[in-house]
Amino acid sequence: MDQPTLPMKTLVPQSGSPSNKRASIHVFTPIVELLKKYYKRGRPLGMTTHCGLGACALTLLVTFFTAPSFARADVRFNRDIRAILSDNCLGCHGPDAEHRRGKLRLDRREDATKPAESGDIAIVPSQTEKSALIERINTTDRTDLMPPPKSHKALTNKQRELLTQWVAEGAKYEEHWSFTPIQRPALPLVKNLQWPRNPIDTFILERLESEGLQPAQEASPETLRRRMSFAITGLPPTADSQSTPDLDVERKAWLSSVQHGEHLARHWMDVARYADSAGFELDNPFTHAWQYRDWLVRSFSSNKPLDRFIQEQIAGDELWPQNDDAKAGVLFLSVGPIKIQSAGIRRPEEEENDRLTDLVDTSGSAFLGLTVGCTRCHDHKFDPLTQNDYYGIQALFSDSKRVVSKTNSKENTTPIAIELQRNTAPNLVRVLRRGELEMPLRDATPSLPLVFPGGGPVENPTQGRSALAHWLTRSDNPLTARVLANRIWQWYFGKGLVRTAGDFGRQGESPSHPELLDWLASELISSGWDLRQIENLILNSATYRQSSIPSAAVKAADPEQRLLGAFPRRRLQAEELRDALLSVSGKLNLTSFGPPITPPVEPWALAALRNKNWSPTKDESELVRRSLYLIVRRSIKLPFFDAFNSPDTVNSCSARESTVVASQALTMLNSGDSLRFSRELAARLWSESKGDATQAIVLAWHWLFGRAPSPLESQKATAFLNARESVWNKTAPDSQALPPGVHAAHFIPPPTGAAWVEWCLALINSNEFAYVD
Amino acid sequence: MLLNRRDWLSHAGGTLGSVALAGLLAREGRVFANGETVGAGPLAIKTSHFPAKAKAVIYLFMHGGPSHMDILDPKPMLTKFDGQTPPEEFHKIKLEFTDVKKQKLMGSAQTFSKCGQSGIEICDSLPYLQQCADELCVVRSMHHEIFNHTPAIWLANTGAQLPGRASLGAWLSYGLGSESDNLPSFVVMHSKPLKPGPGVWGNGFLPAVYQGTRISTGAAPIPYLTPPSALAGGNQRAVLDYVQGLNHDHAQLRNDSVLDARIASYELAFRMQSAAPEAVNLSTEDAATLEMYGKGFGEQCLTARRLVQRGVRCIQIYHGGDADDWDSHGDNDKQQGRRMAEVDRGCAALLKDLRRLGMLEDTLVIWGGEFGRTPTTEGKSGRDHNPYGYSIWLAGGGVKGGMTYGATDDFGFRAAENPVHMHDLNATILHQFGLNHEKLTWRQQGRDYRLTDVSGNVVKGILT
Repeated sequence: MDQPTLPMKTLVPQSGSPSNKRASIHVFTPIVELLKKYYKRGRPLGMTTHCGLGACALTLLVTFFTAPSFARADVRFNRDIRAILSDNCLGCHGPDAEHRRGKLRLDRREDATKPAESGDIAIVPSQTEKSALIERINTTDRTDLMPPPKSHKALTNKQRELLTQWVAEGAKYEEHWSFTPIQRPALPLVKNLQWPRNPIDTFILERLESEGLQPAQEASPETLRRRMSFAITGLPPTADSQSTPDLDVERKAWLSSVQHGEHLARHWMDVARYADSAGFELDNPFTHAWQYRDWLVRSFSSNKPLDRFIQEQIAGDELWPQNDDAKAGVLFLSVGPIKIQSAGIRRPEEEENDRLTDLVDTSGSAFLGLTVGCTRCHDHKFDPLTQNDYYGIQALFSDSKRVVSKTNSKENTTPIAIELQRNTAPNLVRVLRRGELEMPLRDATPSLPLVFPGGGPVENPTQGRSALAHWLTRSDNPLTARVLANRIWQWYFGKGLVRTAGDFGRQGESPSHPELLDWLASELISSGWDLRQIENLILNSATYRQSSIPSAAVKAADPEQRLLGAFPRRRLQAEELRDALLSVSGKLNLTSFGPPITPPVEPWALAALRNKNWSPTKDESELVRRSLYLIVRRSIKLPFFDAFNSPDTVNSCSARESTVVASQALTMLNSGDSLRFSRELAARLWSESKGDATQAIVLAWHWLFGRAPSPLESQKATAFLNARESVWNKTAPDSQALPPGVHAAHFIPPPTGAAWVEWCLALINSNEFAYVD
Repeated sequence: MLLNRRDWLSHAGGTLGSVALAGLLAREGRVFANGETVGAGPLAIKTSHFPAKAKAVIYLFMHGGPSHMDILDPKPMLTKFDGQTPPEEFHKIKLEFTDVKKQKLMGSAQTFSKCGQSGIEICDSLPYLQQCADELCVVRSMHHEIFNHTPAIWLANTGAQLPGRASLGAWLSYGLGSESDNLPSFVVMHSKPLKPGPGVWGNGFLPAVYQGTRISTGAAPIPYLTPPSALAGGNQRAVLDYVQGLNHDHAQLRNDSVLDARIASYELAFRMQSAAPEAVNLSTEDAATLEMYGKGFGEQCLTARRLVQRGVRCIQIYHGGDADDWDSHGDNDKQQGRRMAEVDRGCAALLKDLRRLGMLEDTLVIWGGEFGRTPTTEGKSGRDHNPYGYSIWLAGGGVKGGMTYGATDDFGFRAAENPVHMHDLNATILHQFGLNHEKLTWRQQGRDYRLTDVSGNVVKGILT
């Protein structure tokens, strides 16, 4: 964007700080000031004339404060009509010519508005009385009624009204939402002016109000602190029951910490199908992949502009050949699964085809949010991508080749390094019938998808990836910024505004708040692809700061939590859970970067693995590093991560599952790791409380739950400890059931020690520990 | 010492007891914090598309590729032309290790007998199985295109050669729910490592609740089933009661079905701790039964029968792996012979036992590997992988006994008559459970995925 951007800090309301003017001046003032800034910057992308803080912004502000209420007047095709047609009509009146009835097609305006086989015209724009569609959906004659009763489909009254209003308003069709240019929308008008803290909130509130709902109250400071700490760093807040830290100060520290970079890196590793091994039968360990993981940590920690972040992953080696950091980014293309053959007849053309398929599918989902995989075999059935587009992108990636080097050429399962080597001329790629090498149709032209701005053959195919990198990050690419903004939103709210974060095509879900997504996308671009800018907006929003307990009305009206009338409670991800266990037991080693750590695992976990290649790291202090530094093997997941829904590492993973199954309970109750965490936690509590149970209960509640215990909770905990201690007085506990290493400093009588360990085991199994409000 | 469930309920009392009584089962999907019901849990019993013939499947997976010409598909022509170059029409067949035109045809060293009333020919290295010939439906025209182990095993299990899709057992759990309150609905046994690793019984894109659970025999058949030995002197129920007390207080304020589901999952885990060891404890079986099944593979077959009796829907037993594999690239006859000796008794005992107990009607038993082997040599006396034509057998579960179906060409290279693709087999298995393979779908990445990808036809000719 050519537009100058304001420094970030002037855009971020410093609420809660002592200098906040909110308390002393008129309650609306900060919002007005804040919103002015946004209106000032708020021209639609691609507009050439400057609006400035001129008439339009002032008009909007005036309206903002004078409009008594707001109701949706217009009907929008994408929001209101597309699904009705698609679910009820297009089966017989859609793109599929073979099954079309009455020579009528309703998915395209030019077809729907011309006479069908019967001579009737389905849609006469703005003239409902002449439109056969309106007549046929309203008729009482069962032989004429649409959809036909025998189809077992029926329109609701609301749907009939919407279709009628849509035709009356001119039957405007829209391109699929994510393929349209990103327009920076005006901020919507809301009734409740006290609630919004920044523009995000106006979009959320407008939608809630239109449904007659109100947002939840603000969460308690303790809840917010725990929520933000996990969201930003993936770690629990380091608690201190004695003082009340300033959350704004802490938040800034968290955002600039390497732990933040690590947490976001783990998110992106899902998207990048990251693993430290090749997969398939031999599953050779990778010696290079961790350098990509470290590049991610560095990039997120330093707030690298996200356009550059994308460019380096696609073509860092071509664009910045002298820059080692940029060259590490392009390892994105080399951390996917690779079939390494042990013996037999090699077929290099198949290997190359597999490589290009992985690259196009993964990049398509990661950056464009499109399931391009379908177009490998045929033109896309739902999205405007063709087979030529697919193989055109493959040809861009063929400007380089993969070089595999083995550390020990004699062993099949030896560790390997993958390097990308540029070709002097791009390899020939062919368009394949049904994706099969034996059935080439024609040569592919190195090109970008035609339907998007800047599509078509690239000028310099020897730098095909550079062309792709620049094209992805053009400000008029309708997908990239939307997909990224949605991912960032998902990292903070657990679910995206588009819940299918890797599929923005027609088969993906529509955004719950399309205008908000476009606003965020345009803000992302106009801020210079500034990740922190979006993060701060989210963290400062009233939306983010809501309690996780919805009102009865919100819960009833929105069980899926799409309207965000409360903060969505979430379970900690596998890595967060393990890191939190290490953190509260005082064992977490925060050393960053470096080759992956291989933890010891139980023999049963390796039993099904043919090429084990498993040599645990010996240094104990390394074994308590953060989870993202533990080895990710494609052929076997670490048991703890497997139980808690770690991704499959084969395809780009756009959202983690969060299932609740008995094997998780067994893992948390019975694994050796759980006992070890409980013993360490008990030891830490014992030494910090100097053996005072009352004090230990207060500490435990702060460390694990981020809050003080209630009197009843203290009482129950004390009762449990006493009851268990008296049992252990009768049966001497095993030494392995006692807190380790505290005997010298503060001797724990064994029955007390065993009771404390059991108590800690109970606490780490609690829902409050595993979930974030 | 663990208390049993009733003991616990009788002394837990108060809110926690009533929580438990309200039915803490993920499979019932009840929300008990406020007594309301919000739809079924992921393992709730679901209605099949049409009436089912089979309630359970025991899938005996012969890892590495059994040699059909030496076991179930005798080829006199192969013996006749032993040592000669194969006919030209087979020269272009793509194999992993060998070039067909450079190899020699290799007749089987095995002998075959016509067995039972049906007269099915079974190799004489399977004397026990020969006694069950009239229960068997031998399909001699299996085929697919994948000639290496790992992708072929993925194909057999998930319908796709690349990892990431859901396995047959996961699809069955997803489609039908779980019959068991305290055991997983999909269980896997194996004694050797597998080439593709444990992912082949995974849930893929389906929720993790549907993944297979690997069990072993002995006191701890499921990982983390029992408290660590250091805490064995403790009372886990007391710890769990305290956890559930905390969880109940926490959930009451929040009114969130997910939190309630987690409370329920801890109760299921607790019940599994006693149910799973009981299910795999063979000491309660009588001596004759134990003798009939034999050791090793036979014990796994007996365990499978016990699991079916306890409501487990899908049991896979992988046989072979490492040096003791069906993958006979060298000395084919010896290697295949050893494997046959290992499984013969268990297979036959399982069929006889299921028949005796009246369970064979609705228990489908399948025996087969990821592919067969070449009629041609590899090296001096080995056989290469051959996915283009091979044999399996099925029994029970609504499949006709005492028949063969389909045929390979004269040498056993390719399926030649009534070919049955791996997708067709999977479609047929789902069909026996009352599931239409085209309707059992999962929306992912913009398309509806299914076990049979975009193909598959139910093999009607083998069904009762």
